Amino acid sequence: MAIAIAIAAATFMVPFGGTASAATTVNTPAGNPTDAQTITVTGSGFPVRSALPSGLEIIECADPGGTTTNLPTDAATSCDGTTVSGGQINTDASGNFTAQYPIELLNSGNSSINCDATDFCVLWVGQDFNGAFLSGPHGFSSAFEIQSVAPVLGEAPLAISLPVIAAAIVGVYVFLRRRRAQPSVTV
Amino acid sequence: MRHRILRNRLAAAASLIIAVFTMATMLDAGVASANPSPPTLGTSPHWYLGKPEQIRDAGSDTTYFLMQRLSDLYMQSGLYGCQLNLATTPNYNACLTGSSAVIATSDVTDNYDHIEVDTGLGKIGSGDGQKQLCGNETAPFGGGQVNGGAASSTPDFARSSKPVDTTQPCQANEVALGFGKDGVPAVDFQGAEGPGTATGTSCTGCSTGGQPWSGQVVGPVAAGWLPGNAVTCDTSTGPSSNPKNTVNGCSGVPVTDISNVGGSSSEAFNIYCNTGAGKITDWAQLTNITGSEVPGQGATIAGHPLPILIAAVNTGSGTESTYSGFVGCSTTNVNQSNLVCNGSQALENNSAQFGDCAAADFPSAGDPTSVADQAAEVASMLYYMSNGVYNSNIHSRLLTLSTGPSTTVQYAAIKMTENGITATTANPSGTLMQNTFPTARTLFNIYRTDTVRASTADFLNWICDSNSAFTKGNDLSTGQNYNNEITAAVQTTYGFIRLNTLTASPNNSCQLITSVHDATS
Repeated sequence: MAIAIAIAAATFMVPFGGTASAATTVNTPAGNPTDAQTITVTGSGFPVRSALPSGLEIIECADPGGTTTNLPTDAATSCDGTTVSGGQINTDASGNFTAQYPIELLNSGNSSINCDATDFCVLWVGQDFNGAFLSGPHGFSSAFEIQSVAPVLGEAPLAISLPVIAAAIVGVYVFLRRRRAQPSVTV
Repeated sequence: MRHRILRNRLAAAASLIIAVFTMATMLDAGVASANPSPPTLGTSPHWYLGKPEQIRDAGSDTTYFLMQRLSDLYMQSGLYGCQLNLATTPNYNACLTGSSAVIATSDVTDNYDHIEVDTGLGKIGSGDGQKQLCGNETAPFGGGQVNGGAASSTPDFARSSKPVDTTQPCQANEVALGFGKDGVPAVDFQGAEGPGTATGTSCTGCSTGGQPWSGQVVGPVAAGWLPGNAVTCDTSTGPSSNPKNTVNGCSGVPVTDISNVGGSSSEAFNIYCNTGAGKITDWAQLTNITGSEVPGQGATIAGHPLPILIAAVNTGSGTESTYSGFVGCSTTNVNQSNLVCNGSQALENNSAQFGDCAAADFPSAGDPTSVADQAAEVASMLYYMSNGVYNSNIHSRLLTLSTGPSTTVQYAAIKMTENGITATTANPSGTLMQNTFPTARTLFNIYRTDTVRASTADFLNWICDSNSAFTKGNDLSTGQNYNNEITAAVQTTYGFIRLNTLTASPNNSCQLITSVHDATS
């Protein structure tokens, strides 16, 4: 289901250098990653290395519903700085890059955003997530959800787990009442 | 008949599920009430006083900007604090009492007292903040005395990017609340290619005749550049003539790691601390290695010195203290360069300043090679930075040189690994949270148990609590819960990792203050 909703790689026209626009693409492996899985991220259309001495940054951001209309517009409210790529990511002479990136599951226990099995996220790739989130060179990956390595019921969101538990209690109650209501049979 | 019973039961079950779901949703969202009840004064975790106060902190520059942000968030929540009393003298220096203290929009879970927080400057640095907290250095602006506290001319708490200094006289009464996680990676400037021949003419920090490069070409030495290589060898995909270099076309090996393994015989010690035999002074000793050689064993190039220039950093800072602990001496400035910034101490966590320093060290007036000299200085530098500042502030890791009347070039500081370990920020699995990165450190707010005021305790508890002991309100200017805004400020805007009351050991020092000295005043 999650895969079906995932959108195609986003392409955006972003200004660079104040003179021209460049189309950027960001590609990630198909399907949903798992927590702590390292994936290969590739892209093109970014400034060439000599114009980008600080390299590229990759960061996880919330994308509610996994739709292009809900793509993040601001890092401070939609992204998590603990997921920013740690090493130098240089582009080549054509503005392409390849990087290894560790996916991180995010929820209220470690973040101000949710990136998990029920909350879509995207990878933002660009030069400066805090200073030029949309105004600088950047691109977004397809939306994805993050699967826990070992799901635990206690970690499920309240809105899901409570009704499931309630339904189970009601089911047991109905079953017991039906058994009690059946007439006893004597031989 | 049986079908009808079944239908009824299914309907009842469905109703129950819907009811439970609705209740859960309502609980999740919170329910607006008419007028909230006035909170209880003088009790943990809020420690409300029923009156406004000012508090002041001092110390760390690493956490200065973050604490400014947290102070702002806390103070703006006070816009919706208690209703203040006009009838007091001076006016409005206490909350109204009883039900008149609150109205429908009163925020009774955040800054109810209208506390004002001054993120102090004064003598900057974690060490100085702690000294001021203990009264071992007098502060220019008191916190406690001005506001009726017990200790005169001391801040209410110290910002510190290092643990409690056990040599301070009040250390027995100090408690450090670790609210953030960080690291201090070394950085070099591998992409500083420069335009070629560095003559050193007009050097302001060089002794007479002692310009450092003997009028030779200097390329990106940290990327493995050696004499004879093109200065663009760092951008070439190679292959390198050196089998140990699989990264670029330079014939040396890029310097991407610094090691303190071996203590006083380590690479780090020999660069930063050693003043005698075995001292590492030349980039070729790190990069000009082959076979089984390790950094430090490389041969220098006769007649072509490539000096390692160590930028001096303000002592007293927690960042300098952390890194000096890694390299193994009391300060990282033992072998500092007298060329960089003309030998002056640079501020921590800011590479941008070195563009200005290089321009001052090699003034352009009448010197046609000044840009080459400036680039050579940058290429030859070693520095270190807060990982959070590096990650979150691109300006802090970029420096700019003027190459003409209207042209510039930018070079970037590149993070290095320590003992082969990369600083990673994943929570809780990263090397900073796991304390496996050698310079992983905790960012603290330190208070004194013998003087802490209720207003200070309220603010510090507000930072530490993670909607656990109490639930913060929503920021009415953004719609976000203040707890989320604290996390976002710590982690995204400023690049650290938030620690709070629920953080697991050993990073669990951000615990609530449960005793104060003026709760009933």
